[in-house]
Amino acid sequence: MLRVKNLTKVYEDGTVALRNVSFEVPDGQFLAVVGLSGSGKSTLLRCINRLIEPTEGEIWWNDIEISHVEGEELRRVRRKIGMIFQHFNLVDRSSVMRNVLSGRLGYVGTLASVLGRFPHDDMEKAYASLDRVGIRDKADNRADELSGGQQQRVGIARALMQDPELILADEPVASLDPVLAHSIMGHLQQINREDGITVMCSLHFLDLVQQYGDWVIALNEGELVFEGLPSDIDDARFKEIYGKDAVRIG
Amino acid sequence: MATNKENNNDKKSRPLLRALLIFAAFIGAFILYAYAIDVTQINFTEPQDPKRQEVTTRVIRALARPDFFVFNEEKRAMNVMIRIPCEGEVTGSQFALSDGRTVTISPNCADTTQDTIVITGSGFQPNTSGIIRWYPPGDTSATRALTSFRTDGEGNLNEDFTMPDIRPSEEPQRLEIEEKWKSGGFLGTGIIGFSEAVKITVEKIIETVLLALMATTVGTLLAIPVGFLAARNLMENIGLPLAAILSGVIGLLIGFVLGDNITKWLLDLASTLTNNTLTGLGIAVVLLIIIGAVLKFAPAKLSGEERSRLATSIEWLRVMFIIILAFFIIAMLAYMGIVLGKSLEGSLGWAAFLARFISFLSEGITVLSPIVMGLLLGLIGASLGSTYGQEAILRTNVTTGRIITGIVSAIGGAIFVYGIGAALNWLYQFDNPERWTTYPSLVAAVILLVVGLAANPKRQYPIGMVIYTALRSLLNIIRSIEPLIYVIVFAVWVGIGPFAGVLALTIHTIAALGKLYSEQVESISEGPIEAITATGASRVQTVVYAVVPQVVPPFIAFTLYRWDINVRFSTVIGFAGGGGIGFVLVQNINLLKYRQASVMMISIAVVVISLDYLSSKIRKRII
Repeated sequence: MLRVKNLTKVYEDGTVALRNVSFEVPDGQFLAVVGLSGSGKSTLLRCINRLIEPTEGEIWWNDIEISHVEGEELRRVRRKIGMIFQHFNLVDRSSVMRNVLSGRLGYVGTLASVLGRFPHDDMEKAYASLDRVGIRDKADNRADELSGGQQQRVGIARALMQDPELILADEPVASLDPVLAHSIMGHLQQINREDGITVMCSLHFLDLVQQYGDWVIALNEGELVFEGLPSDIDDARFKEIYGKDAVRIG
Repeated sequence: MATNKENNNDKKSRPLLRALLIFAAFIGAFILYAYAIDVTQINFTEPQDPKRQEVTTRVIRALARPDFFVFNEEKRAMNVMIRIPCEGEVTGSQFALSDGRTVTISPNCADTTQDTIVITGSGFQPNTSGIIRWYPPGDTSATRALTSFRTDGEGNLNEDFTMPDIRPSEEPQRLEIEEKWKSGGFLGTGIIGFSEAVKITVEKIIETVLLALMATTVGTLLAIPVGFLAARNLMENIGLPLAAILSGVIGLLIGFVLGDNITKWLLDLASTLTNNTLTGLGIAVVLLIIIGAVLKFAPAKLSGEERSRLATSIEWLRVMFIIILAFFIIAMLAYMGIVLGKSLEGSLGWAAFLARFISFLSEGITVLSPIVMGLLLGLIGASLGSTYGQEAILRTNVTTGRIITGIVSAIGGAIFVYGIGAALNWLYQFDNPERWTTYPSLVAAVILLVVGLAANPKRQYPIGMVIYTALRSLLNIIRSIEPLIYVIVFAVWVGIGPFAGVLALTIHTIAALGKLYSEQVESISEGPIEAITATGASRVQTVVYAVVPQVVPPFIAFTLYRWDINVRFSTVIGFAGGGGIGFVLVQNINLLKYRQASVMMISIAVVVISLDYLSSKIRKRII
């Protein structure tokens, strides 16, 4: 269970990215986060795993308030929250295998991982994760040799390595073509349904939201403007979220 | 409307203002350049001085004829007689030899000095240079060259010269006409080998390139950690509570003292045990077996979600045990290596440098390991100290946190201030050292105790930016001083020679590469860092997994580039006593041996150009 209470983020230059945002995500939900570019979706996701420090508010996760944990405890929180990025954020020059194994860093001792020694179980797990996203044969390739869709699957495999209870997906398909987008969303849905991992996914296209999301929250200029079922977003709601001049294209 | 008017006024006044500004700029530039030319003594008089022009021409002509080869020269001499002064019996003005050489002297006597004598002849080697010398009567050693000549295509000689101030004699005096020509040798050019200058140049240019190699290697190794610590993007987010920072200081001190002392003690023990080589080897083998057994029968647990504190401690103890044993073996090998190297040196002949290398490595281990281990353990101590300091503050309530912060800050602060005071005291040798060490550290302890008790213990201080700023400033200072200046200092410490050059270039390389590396780290893509951080990786893991792979190619490229620069520097570093080609080059210039100097200049150009080419090729391949 993730509970966000009155979350506010003000950047150093005074930009208010999030304004008093509160919502709840029950375990196992596929939550879609929508809103225009710059509405605060990325900031919201990054506040949850503390890549960005929230200015005010509380984030309760499994009954721990995690907005101020530090050091070892923060690492313990982060390793249970997987993250998938719009630009995949793989290490281009490393092999696919090494990229996937890096998902395990929160569990492995510093010295062993610096020497590149991962336990046998982790290697097995990495192959299994790659298998699951269908690119086991690419394990020894360099990450930048893969196509965009394959790179995002590596990103998913990396997140799976963390044994996550929550996956934050920051516009995971925004840099992919529609066919690939559905393939990637399918993987996320599968992980959500089969493993019961909570997914919190920011999306641009409403058809994706309606196809994959269990629940939707919408942000506009940092404020939560809508919360409900995907099917509840009718034209009036749409204009509320995206502004009067917006036209639905998907 | 008012604002409009003001704008108009502004526009009107602008052309005049601009003209005035341009005029002022011209005046300023005029004054600047006038003064600059005066100060730098640029003038037209000196370059036009005929004497200077003559000397310069000679130098340039010598430089244009580099002394590359040794030639096989053949000589042939012919003696003619002349009277000085024109008294007594005339000896005849025509001379002939059976091989066909004939010479006529006109006149065949010189009455006063400064008389012009004309010598004509035939039957000489065509197109050949030679010298005419004067031999005083009875004394064959005190010769004097009168003039040099060159024969024409048919072997005819026609040379006039002024008789210099020569001792008169009643006896006829002898002139020797000597021809010299090159013959035989390589393809008939007369070349029979390379000159001494070439041999020295080859030896010294190798020294130069290797000097640059050593400086680049050591400099690179030290610049890598500096590069990461001086990278803003890695450092700016590092904030720690006061207690963590100062327990880091305490950990640093304890680690250093422990590392230094344990290492010295181990070295002593190793030295005693290796007095007898056989015993030493035996002990080393036994220790190796023990290490193997520990590795085999107590395999490391690398991962696992829940690992008890006890298991972690045992794991640490095991690692420490192996490291200490391994170091002990290395130390014993080092002491045996010193002996081995010395005994091998005599019997290896030209490869004696390999024996000296064994001695060097062994001695290096015994001399450097206490410092290295001290620093290493110091860093580990600092890391552990700050980690546990931070955890202690995070896990306890505010009151306990305050007390911990107060105590730790007082101790850590006192150590820090005492250290600075001791360093200053070493530098300036104060009359009352305790005024600079003990008292200030006590004051610091009290202040920090109060601060620690009063302030919020969880407040983060930007220690990362402090380190970043300090390191960057230090790099800028070191970089702004040229290696030529460092070499003067190091020549005092280790003597004139290539070693001083290596040290000077190393210092400069650390600073220059450290800056380049850090800028490279700053320009990497942030995405992977974000992704690796999000997995729960520690800072070290994030750097190793997200940063290092991105910077390896540019680091290699920069290192090659730096080697290039170092070769260039090392050619001149000898001017200030740093060894290499520069050292012999400046010697030759000072001795006015321009033809030899020319060889060295050419070799520098060749080496620099070819390394430049080579390194740019390799760099292109890597990126």
